[in-house]
Amino acid sequence: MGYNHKYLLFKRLIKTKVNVAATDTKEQILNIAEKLFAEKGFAGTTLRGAIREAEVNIAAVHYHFGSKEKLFSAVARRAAKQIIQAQQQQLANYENRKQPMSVENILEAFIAPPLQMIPQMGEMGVIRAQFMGRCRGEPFPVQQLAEKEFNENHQRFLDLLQRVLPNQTRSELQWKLDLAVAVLIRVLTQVGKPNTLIQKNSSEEVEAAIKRLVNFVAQGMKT
Amino acid sequence: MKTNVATTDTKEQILNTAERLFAENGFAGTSLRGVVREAKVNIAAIHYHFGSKEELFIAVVQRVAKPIIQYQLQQLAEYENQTSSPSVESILEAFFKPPLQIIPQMGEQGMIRAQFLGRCRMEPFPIQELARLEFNPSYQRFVDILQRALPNQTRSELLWKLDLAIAVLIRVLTQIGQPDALIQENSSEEVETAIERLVNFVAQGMKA
Repeated sequence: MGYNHKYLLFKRLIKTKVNVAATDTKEQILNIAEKLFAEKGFAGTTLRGAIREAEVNIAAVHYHFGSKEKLFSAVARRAAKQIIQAQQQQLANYENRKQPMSVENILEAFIAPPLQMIPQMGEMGVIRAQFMGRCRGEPFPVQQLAEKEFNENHQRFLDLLQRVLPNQTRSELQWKLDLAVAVLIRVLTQVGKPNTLIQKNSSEEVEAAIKRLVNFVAQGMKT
Repeated sequence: MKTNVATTDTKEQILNTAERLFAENGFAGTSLRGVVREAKVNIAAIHYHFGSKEELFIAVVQRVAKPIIQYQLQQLAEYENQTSSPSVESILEAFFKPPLQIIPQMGEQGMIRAQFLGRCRMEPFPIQELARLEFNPSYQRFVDILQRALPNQTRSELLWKLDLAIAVLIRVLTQIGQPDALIQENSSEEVETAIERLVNFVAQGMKA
């Protein structure tokens, strides 16, 4: 191995390490920011607080995210991405069956992924649920930052619902799906509480909860 | 007399400011100092009337809950005295109508109130619990009467269903005036239609 080759290898190694460190820092900031936004809300969270808890420096936060709004959007994007991917996968499964989808099928593809993923995440899942609640509960314009991350996916689901419920206006389906999200998020934030749909968080219980929730929402969706 | 009026005013002033700040900034984002500054009262007045941030929060919840619960229970009383069980739709109407008639009519203050109610449900424990306790007496009576109308469902089932009905109600309240929301122009006709549609939307799931 010539010197030059070794040097290049060394350089690549350093570069990888730096990239890993950068990813770690970024993830670390996102994790802490998500926890703080979840617990304290947007106004109650400061970049300074996130920096202190993430044990990074202010330059790192500014470098990766810029402002508190952008940090909030980044956290919302990360949460949305995971859910949307799983939702689209479920839809694809139904589409492959080549049978027309029912309202129940569409709602299941919408509701099942977050209910299967988030309660399984343990402590992080509690934070994630709470964060999603904040995304919807914050006043405008913060609420809109989160909505942007989910909107394209919502439109896709609305398209599908419109096809199976052709007699309803788009606006009607829109408020109904919005209320379905309100219901879904309430279930997620109440996981483990007495008299809620998911108390022990076993996979059987989650599957039963999905069925009951789909049923609960589908009836109203169709009327 | 004059002192009493002043005291009431100060108290109301503190509650108004606190409600707005809790609504906008959440529980953690609100400080007693901030309330003092914006309400233009002194910290001694807050401590005298309310004590702590938790107690101030509870006082705001109580003020918000009182007119809604009163109206709800008044609507419910009619049905409670009947021997036959009322329909799920009429129970839900008695539940939804009061907040949907009171809050959108309050203008700017109504927006704050809706946002505050949303916060009551979203704040992490134990704050959420402080708010829940204030609404609980009315909540249990609605579950009682729902149980009469739906004898084949377990109490626990009705509890989570009514809880989800509240999630829906509060979403409708906080989205008033937004495009594609159930209530956009906030006329009394529109509110009446919204109540009907909302009752219908939830009743089906409640019965299923």
